[in-house]
Amino acid sequence: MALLDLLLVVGIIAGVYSLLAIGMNIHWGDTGLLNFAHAAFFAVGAYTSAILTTPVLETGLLAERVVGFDLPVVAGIAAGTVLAAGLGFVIATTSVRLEGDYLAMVTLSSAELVRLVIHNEAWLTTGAQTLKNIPRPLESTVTTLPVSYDLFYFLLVWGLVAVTYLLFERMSSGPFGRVLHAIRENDDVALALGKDVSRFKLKSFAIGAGVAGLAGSLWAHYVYAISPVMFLPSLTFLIWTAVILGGAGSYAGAILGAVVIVVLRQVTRFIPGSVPFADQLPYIRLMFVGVVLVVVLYYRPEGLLGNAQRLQAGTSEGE
Amino acid sequence: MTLLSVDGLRKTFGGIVAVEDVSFDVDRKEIVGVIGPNGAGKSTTFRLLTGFHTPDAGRVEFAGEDVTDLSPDARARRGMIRTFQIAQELTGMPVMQNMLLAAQGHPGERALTSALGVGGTDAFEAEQRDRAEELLKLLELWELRDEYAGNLSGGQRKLLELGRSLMADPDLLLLDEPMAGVNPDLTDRLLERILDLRDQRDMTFLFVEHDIDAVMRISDTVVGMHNGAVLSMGSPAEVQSDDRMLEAYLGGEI
Repeated sequence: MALLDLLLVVGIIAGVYSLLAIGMNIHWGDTGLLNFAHAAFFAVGAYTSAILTTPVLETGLLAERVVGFDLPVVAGIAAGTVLAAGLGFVIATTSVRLEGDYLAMVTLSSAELVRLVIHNEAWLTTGAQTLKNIPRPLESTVTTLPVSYDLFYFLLVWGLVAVTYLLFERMSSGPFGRVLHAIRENDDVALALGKDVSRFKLKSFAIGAGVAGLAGSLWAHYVYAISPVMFLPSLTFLIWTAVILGGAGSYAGAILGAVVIVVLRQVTRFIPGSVPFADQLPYIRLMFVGVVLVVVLYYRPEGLLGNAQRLQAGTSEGE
Repeated sequence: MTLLSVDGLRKTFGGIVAVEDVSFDVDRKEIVGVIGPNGAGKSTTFRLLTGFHTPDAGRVEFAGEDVTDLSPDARARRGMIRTFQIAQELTGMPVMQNMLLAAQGHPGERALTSALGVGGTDAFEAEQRDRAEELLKLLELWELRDEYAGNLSGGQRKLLELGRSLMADPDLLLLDEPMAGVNPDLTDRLLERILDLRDQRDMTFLFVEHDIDAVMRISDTVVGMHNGAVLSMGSPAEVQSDDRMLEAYLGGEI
């Protein structure tokens, strides 16, 4: 029974990470945009939802938060998604014309900016302290049912993963995705064929950011309490690892990559302390993720579910 | 009737004057070939016409509208479609997807209609597939429709690029050295195809080309450039017999 509970928790985290990876995949996998601001979209989703659904109350020792709306959870999740998409739109508006590496730098620094604002604007976010008592959706209803709350939340998260996956898969394989893929391959061609490249990049950025915001909202409502340290750039890099591991351009791959990463990280928590170096696990865990990435890419450069043919054809010089 | 009007174009790169006072008109259903030795300013002119460069001075008018400051994509949507000198097929996309990408005004290119498949997306897509099939068969690429464009040979890529630009159903097709690297047999077929398109679909062509032979065979008007300026303009016979052009090509040592 305890094992099942553990699996549910790991499953919920994996679901949240899957949504993050789906959002990253429309950016990098479909459009070829180097987004390093994913943790910020996640944070905006989480904080928006948390602020909207909690009342103003004295939390913690030096609580100063003076804003709270006590709205239903659904409103929080919707607003979190929309606001994260809005942030994606704003970041993209200023920087989407930048080429590759420069976009990566701007997005990374924007994400840190967002985190520092959250950290310092305590009146809104309780600052460095944890923003607590975030309500769980339908908690009182679910407790009267013969299912555990974790099982309910697991199904909710994975239901949303499934819907998101289907929508993104359709979008990617449809005419909209075709334009994104063309931009990924060569944006001059897209321009020459009359596609408003900047607009498509903006849309891709906002949509992916929105899904990351949704993930953030779901995360906040599950863990009760959030703080700025949950949204460090390392989270962004972890999602990158998931997308590359699973195979950039493949939504199923993004989900698989996220699940693999989460399982690797969570399962290693239960290595007994008698094992050598077990007390160093937090550091070794990250190395372990790196080793897995290297091994997978050595044998499958396209990632677990990536498209090897496309990768090969895409690097062809012709003749 | 004038479709494209170019007036006094000038473009410098640093201290180098690449294009100086270039003016010419292209009538509807006309085939205009731009020739000139290396460094004559053909490619720069081409990029100025397609919006990939902005001119320092001068004006480009298309179908009566000033398009001088329009972006490349905005010009393309108005019916000016270009090809690239080195075929820029999208290597990581199948041949059919390359073709369908060029369809103009696709309702499914909005994110939501694409995700939900509404707003006439599927019907439009089916219609475009039929058009693409017809063109691919004509260009003998139909068997390769599901192949990644990166796996095609150089000549096939050239054909795909032409086919893709035709999918956009342009009023004016701007071709950047369409014959470069194409074998003579294929060149003949391409030239025939251009004449057919002009006659059947009222298309207008402007092409930059090194293959003088090809230019002389199909052009109504030839624009001869040298050192960034228009040196000679007129019928193929006129330009061919213009001593200044000969001098430009041979460096005056006849």
